[in-house]
Amino acid sequence: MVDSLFPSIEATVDDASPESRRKRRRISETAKETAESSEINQESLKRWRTNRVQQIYASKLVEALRRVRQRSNDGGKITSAAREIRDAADRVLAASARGTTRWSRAVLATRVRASLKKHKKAKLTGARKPRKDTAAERKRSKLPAVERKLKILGRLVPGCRKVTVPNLLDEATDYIAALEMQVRAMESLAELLAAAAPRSMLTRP
Amino acid sequence: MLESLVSLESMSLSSMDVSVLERLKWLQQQQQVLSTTNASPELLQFHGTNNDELLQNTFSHFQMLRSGFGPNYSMGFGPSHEAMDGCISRTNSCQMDQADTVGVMLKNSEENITISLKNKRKSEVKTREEEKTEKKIKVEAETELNMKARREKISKKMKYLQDLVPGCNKVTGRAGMLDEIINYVQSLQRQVEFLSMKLAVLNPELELAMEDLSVKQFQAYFTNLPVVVASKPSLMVDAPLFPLDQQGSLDLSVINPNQATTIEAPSASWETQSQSLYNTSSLGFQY
Repeated sequence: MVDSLFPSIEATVDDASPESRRKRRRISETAKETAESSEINQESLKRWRTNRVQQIYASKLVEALRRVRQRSNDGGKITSAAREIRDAADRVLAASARGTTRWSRAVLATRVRASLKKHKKAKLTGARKPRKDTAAERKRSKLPAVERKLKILGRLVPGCRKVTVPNLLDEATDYIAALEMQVRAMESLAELLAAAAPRSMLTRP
Repeated sequence: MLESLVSLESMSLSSMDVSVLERLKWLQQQQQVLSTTNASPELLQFHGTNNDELLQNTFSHFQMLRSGFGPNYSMGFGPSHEAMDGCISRTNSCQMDQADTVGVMLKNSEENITISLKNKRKSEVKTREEEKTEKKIKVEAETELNMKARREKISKKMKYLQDLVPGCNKVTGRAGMLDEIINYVQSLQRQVEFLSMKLAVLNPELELAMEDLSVKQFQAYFTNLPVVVASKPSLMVDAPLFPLDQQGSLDLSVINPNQATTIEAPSASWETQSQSLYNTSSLGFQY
């Protein structure tokens, strides 16, 4: 009887300390994470709307556009130029993020990789086999609808495919705020140019 | 001895406790018998200890000894009558012959050992199982708390997204909100593509536009597009300052014939340069 008692006591003692340690760690971690996440969310909402950020982005965007124009020949296809401009705009946007977010780092990384390798190669390797049993697969994977949507969201936000749910939501928040700023900046620039263009046409001899 | 046994027999054996107590008495009496008959002290001790253990086991783990003792345990705790009968029969046999009593005692002790061992194991197993269940409950409670904290975090973040995405307030539930968010992100990306195409068309105009644009035009744009106000004046500074890293005095006379001042760049930061430009200009922009 007594022998049976001893191992039980020891076991509880051993379990208590690592468990309590784990608990304390978890609690501190969760506290930190909540603080960080709330900071990130509030920060992301604010930082993409400050004038300073808009200034920086607009100036960099103009510079990038110039470079694109210099690189590509005039009279070339508009679509290729458009793609280059979009890539430049995304790159500039990611650069404005100062490397704090995952998607910005992913955007910059992919651009570097694309410049090193040929873009076609990346496209070919990225192509996947077309699935024929879509209906059956849909049935199978239809149950966790929220999870499916989270996956789709992960695919939309660059560099966030294998990211945990809370981090994915944080990244999505920041990405949406950044995209909004990008759209606003490009719209204003386009309008400015559109307004200035006829004038320039007129002023030119 | 016989009288006591008879009394035992006659007693109402409703509860097992009573029978156990009686068995205890009987065992003690047997011990006395043994002591009087000069049994080996080892056996006595053995028996004594066995008795104690057996008694402890029976008293503490009484509820557990319901079934499964079966084959080795011929004493039979189950039905009281059988136990009593067994006791009585053994006592009877003990009464007969000393040697027989010793043999019976040996047998008894062996059985008691096995029984006690089994009881021990059972008790150990039981305590271990109890511990396991307790641990499970603890772990479950812990995981429940963790799940709750996780859910709270996720719902908080969804709230932020809700504030950011227009039209998310009408839809309730995570799936609907995620749908809205996905649609919004896709629409934003499409807008970026469309605008980039527009800029690709307008790009040749960029340099020309930079030279021709006047301050008044910028002012008009500022009032129209208050959101992107800050970007306009920076465009003015961009043209001669390309590439960005250059430091030096800015000659803005090309861009702004109205402004005669030339601004020297004290630092490489865009903010200070643009701010100096703003300060010198008397345009009174509002950001």
